[in-house]
Amino acid sequence: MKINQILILFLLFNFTNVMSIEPDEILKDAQLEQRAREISSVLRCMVCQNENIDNSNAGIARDLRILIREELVAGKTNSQIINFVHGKYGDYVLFKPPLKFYTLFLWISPFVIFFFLFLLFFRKNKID
Amino acid sequence: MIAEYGLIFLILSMLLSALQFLLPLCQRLAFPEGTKKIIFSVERNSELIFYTTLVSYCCLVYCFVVSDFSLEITSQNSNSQLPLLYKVTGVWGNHEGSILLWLLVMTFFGFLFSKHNLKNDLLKTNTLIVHALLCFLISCFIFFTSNPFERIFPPSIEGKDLNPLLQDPGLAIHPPVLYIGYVGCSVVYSLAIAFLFSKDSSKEFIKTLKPWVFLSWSFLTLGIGLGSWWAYYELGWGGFWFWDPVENASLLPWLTSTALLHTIIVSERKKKLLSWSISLSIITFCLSLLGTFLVRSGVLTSVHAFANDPSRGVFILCLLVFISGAGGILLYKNLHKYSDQNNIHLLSREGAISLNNIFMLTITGTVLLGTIYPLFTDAFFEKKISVGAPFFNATISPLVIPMVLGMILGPLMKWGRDDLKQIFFRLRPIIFINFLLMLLVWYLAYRGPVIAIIFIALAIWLAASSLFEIYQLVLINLKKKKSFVIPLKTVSQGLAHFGIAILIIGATGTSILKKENIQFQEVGETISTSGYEVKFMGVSKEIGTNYKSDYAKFELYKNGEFVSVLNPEKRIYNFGKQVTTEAAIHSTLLGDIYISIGDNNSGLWTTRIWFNPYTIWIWLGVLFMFIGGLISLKRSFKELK
Amino acid sequence: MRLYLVGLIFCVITVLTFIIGLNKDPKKIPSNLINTTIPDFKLDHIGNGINNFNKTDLLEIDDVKIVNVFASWCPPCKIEHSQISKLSEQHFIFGINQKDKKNDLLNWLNKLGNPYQAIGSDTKGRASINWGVYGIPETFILDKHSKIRYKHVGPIMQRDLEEIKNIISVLENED
Repeated sequence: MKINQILILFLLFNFTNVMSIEPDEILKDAQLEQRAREISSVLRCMVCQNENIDNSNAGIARDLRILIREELVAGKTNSQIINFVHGKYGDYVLFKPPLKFYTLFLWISPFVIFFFLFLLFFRKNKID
Repeated sequence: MIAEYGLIFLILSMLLSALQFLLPLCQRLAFPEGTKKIIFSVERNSELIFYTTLVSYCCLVYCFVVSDFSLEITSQNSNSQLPLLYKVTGVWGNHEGSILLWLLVMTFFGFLFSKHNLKNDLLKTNTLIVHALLCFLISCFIFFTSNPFERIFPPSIEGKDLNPLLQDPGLAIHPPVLYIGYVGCSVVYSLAIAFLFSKDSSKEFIKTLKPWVFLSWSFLTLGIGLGSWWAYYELGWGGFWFWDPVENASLLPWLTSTALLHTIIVSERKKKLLSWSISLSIITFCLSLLGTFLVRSGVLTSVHAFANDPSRGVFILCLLVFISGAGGILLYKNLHKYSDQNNIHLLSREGAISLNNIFMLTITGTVLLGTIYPLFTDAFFEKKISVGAPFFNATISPLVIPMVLGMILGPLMKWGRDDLKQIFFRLRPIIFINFLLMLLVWYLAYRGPVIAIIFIALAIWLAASSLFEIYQLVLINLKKKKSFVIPLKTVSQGLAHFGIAILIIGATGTSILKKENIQFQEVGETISTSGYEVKFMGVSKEIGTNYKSDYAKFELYKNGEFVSVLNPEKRIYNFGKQVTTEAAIHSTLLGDIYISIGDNNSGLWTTRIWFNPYTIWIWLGVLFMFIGGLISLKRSFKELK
Repeated sequence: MRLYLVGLIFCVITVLTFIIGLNKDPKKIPSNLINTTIPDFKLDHIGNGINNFNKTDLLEIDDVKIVNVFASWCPPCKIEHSQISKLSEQHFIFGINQKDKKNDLLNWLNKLGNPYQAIGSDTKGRASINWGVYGIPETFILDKHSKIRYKHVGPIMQRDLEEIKNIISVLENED
């Protein structure tokens, strides 16, 4: 049991000592860099606990940041790049869940909850 | 031996709290028609419960201070080289110790409550009984699943060190403050349950409830603020809120207790919304338990996750189901008695408050759902999804706008029934001032997202109207007493709303106006950003008590004039070799210069320099809210006496 | 009344979610590439007599294949090495060597043995992304038509071997 836990730690920390975004990754073109930031902010670092790839120091996060910038320079659009990463890693990598039948309730929940409470409140009012 | 004493006193406290709810129960079963007076003093017993828990807690602190590594908890979370402060705070830097702290605060509140002088004896006794039941359940949880006094054999020679991220003064005081908030909710819960049992007038109930709601709200506010402040300077990249499950878990009871303290005001003034006050009292505590479950059971991955164990998860889940189930059933059976008082017109002070509460609870529901939805899809659809900051920003921001509007208009409305024309009439000076302010915002406009501009404009409006409210109170005071004194007693609402306003300005400003410079910097090189020049003076090796660090020196100039020296660090802790970044921050009202250093690439250091505008306003806002809460706390406490 | 019922249903679903959630591991994330043909990827030659491989090489082999992502700097990879060696006695194993230094890798292979049919070097981690790899070691099992059928994240331990062999034998008996 113990050794297994240690192994998982090894796996998670990935041992590459990079601290979030590095100066050599940053693009010269400020507009492209801005777009790169927009993309990274919605992508989850898979091995981290709950960080996007911009703030993570894991190796995979750095690889993805570099990939995003390479693709941007190659002229891809934001959604093309996000779709590529989504295709490789699945829904888990997106911090904003895509609209599918199993996430539908999540997206409509603010409206549902609001109307539920509204009903609850004004139904009470009607009684007397 | 000390650890065994600790355990014995823990068991004693558990038995005493069991006694407190079992004895009265037996008495009532045996003599259903008999006297309502209970044969033993629950007040004295509440004191005893507190003292025994205190002794038990002190034993644990002692084990940490003398570095007794024959205990599992100390060998995992402490170290002989640790500074004394962190030895003491290390007690709550882990699951077992923090739950014991939770119990300590809880029994302390029971003790405090027993000191109340209530006219209604039954309400008081019943509250203490329900509260003792809660204490009993928590101490069972400690004893059966997370005993902090567990010995290991053979004893360790040296401990494994406290998580370096927790070796920080900000995080050292964060948990106790947050627990005061969480546990304050338990008294609120006990009171609501006791009230549902004792069929009495609501007046005293609301009066007794009020200080406890303000207490738990103020400390939740401060606790969340401290946590966010810690994240800002410790995680090394200047973020302050991550929508992490643990943060959401603390936000949920805060939101409902905010709603609660507003309905209480209505309940007190107009005898309305009593059913809401009771329900929210119960829901708030259930949500803080739910948060505990999410954090401690390991069902979610989070930055702050504790070491976890499924049996704990099962226990807390049972606790949660029992406590919220009992509350729910009692509510369902009794609530109709209080719901006939809810006749409220939308165009009135209480109408505005209610509408705002609906928005507040919608936010609560959305945050709750967003936090547990990944679990839900995994459980029922076998799909792993993530719900993170982009989702919450997209859904919560639109809900905040009508709430801020409500906060602006609400305080200007009359109780009972108001007229749209009159509201407009009263609003005229505010609208004029705001028009000027809007012009200012447009003048200073930047190419930010539309929602940010709306936020800033609304927040400025709110700040202005809160200040105007305070000004009017001062004016009234001036006429009455002919002296210019700020009437502290009555400005709490204005202060708290003002706090929210500058918090919104700070949060929005820092998110969209942030300037970032990430580069390889040579020693002696100067980077200019936002009117500042940051000169890199070099890095020296320093040795701390239990870490080694790269200690950098930067000189900060503004327009060529020296401002201050900043020393960001990168520490490597001796045990576990964990690396932490300690950012250096120069705070001004207009913005923070935030520096953290990275690696040495053959003489060139990776330096990250941010200019975070208005960040300090966030913490100032929190502080204003806390002070507003404290003022109300003091006043409601006095009213009780 | 009906509103209470809605609330009750919501609570029951929440509790059920928690009960199921307690029995699941939040860190286990399934691959999104299961049941798809292997992705495009490009690996660099290592030299010293070690064969490289590419997509067509894998497509040409009409048998069950294993693709293992590893590196010499990754401690768990060392732990799974003996299990990988055992698997290599009966199956084709291809190695994607992630962000390694040539000499480190050669030393590592000399010391522990080389169970791989071919090893390609993924110096920049790009091929790993194409395979949807997020932490090493990861192991893919491909069927005869080079579709990804199973992914194991983390080291293959002695106790995982049985399950993996079962999966392989099922795939071998397919057309």
